[in-house]
Parts: sequence; C-alpha cells; structure tokens
Amino acid sequence: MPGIREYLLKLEYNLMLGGGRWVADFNESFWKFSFNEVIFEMMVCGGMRPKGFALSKLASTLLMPNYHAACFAYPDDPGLKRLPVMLKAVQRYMKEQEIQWSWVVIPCESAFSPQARTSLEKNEARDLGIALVNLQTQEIVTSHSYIGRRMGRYINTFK
Amino acid sequence: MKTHTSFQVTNFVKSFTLFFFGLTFLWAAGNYIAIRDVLLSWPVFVVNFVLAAALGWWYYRRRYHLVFSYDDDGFVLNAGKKILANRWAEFTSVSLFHPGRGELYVRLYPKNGEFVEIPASLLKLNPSEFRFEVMGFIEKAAERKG
Repeated sequence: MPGIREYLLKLEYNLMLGGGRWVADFNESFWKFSFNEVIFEMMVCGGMRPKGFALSKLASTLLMPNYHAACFAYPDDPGLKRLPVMLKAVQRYMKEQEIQWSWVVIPCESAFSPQARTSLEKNEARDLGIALVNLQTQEIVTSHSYIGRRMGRYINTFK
Repeated sequence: MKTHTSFQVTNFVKSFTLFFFGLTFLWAAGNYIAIRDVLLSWPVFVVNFVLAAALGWWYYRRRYHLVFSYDDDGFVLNAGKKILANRWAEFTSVSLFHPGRGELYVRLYPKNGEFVEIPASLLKLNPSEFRFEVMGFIEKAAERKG
C-alpha cells in the first residue's frame, strides 16, 4: 500500500509531467499550502494553455481558453469532517485567483465512512471535482459533476 | 557548503554553433573581399573548429555555466557571470515549477517582491527532494527568527 506522501508525490508528477498535461498545464506545485488558516498538504496549479514552440504555441493561443485550474489535496479525513471548511477555502481561493475549476483529492489510508460517500454525492458544485482515494483498496470515488467524473483517470497513480 | 555544478551540453553546443558559423562567415567574407574567392581546405576547417570550440567554451562559461552552493543558512547561484546570493530566512514559501521541456525549478517566494528560481534539474539535483530540503531550511530559519 502506498503511503500518503508517496501517493501525493506520484499525483504531483502525473499532473505536472504525466497524463495531467492533457487536462491542463499544471506547472506549479506547493506543499503545506496555507490559505485562510487552512493547510492543504499539496496544491498544484496551472493554466489551460500549454507551452510549446511556434505552431503549437500559436495553436494553443488561438484554440485554448486562457483560464486557470488547480488541484488541492489534503489527507486523512475518512468522515469528511473537514471537507466543508476545506471547500470554503478552495472556493475563496478560486475567486481570489480567478481559477475556473478545481479538483480536491482526499487520500486516506483507511476506508471512508458511508456518510462520506453520501455527502460527496450531494455535492453539487459544478466547478469542483472531489475525489476520495482509499490507498488501502486503491478505490477512487469521485463526485458526480462533469469535472469530478473526468478527474478519476488522472489521479489514479496506482497502475 | 554543498556545491553542485553541471555541464549543460545543449547550451555548450548552442555557443559552439554560434561561433562556428560566425567564424565561417567571417572567413568567407574576408576571403571574398581580399581575393574575390573563398579558400576552403581541411586545415582551415580544423582551425575554425578548434577556435569555435575555444570561443564557445569561453562564452558558455560566461553566460550559461551553473554553480550552486548551499548550506542551511543560504545559497549562492552563479549563472555565468551573474551571481545570486540569498539567505533562506528571506523567503516564506517554496514551490516546484515546471517551465517546460521536462525541467523543474524550485521557486522561492519572499514575503514581498519577486520570486527567485533555482534550476534544480539543470543542476542535476533531485527537484522534489531538494524542494523538501529547502522547505526545511526555510522552516528552521523562521524558527530561529522567532
């Protein structure tokens, strides 16, 4: 079973240098990211326009929208008791930094409670994707928003 | 102080190519002005090659060569002739930044003002581990400050 730090390092690599580049140009990563008296274990942010040379740069400028995206991660919250506070901070940060959509990844070394899954399903924020990652069983449950449904394959670093 | 240095092949080749084509052009132009012809021979090529390598090395050292020294108090980064020296205590946060081409830089943010970048991949450091090491230095420096 990978530890939380190991999982987050793989996630960071995947977002910045791996498959995550197909979703956004995640180019900067902070650990122990503190905002509004809340500390996220990791926050990776970036834009939607990938870098390139000549034609690819021109194509990304003409075709891609110029907005920002981020991925927040905080560990060990099997009952999702901290989630409302964390989401409030995420939404405030998104507003301040003009971030259009975000992922919130919650890795945990034990199983999530059934209530946690229910509260995840209830989340209706369209600009947020939330994922519960059980490191023991390697199961990933995502929220039902479009962003949430899409994030599963990019945060799965178990393969 | 730990010191890291790395030879950047791409930047040396860039410097060498610049001088090789520059000298070739100068030789051809000089010949044409003087004798209305261009003299080409193996000795000329060899001299041009050696001269371009020497000038390219000089230019590479002056412009691109990186030497990075650090300890738990601060760091000194020599990028060619430019010298950047700072103490960890001057910074409040650290990030890992990907400017492209698979390279990773460690970015240091001061409380006020512009960030500073350390090209960890170019220095053949492990960017992720070095980032955590720097985070530790900054944390310790903040504790010392009180």
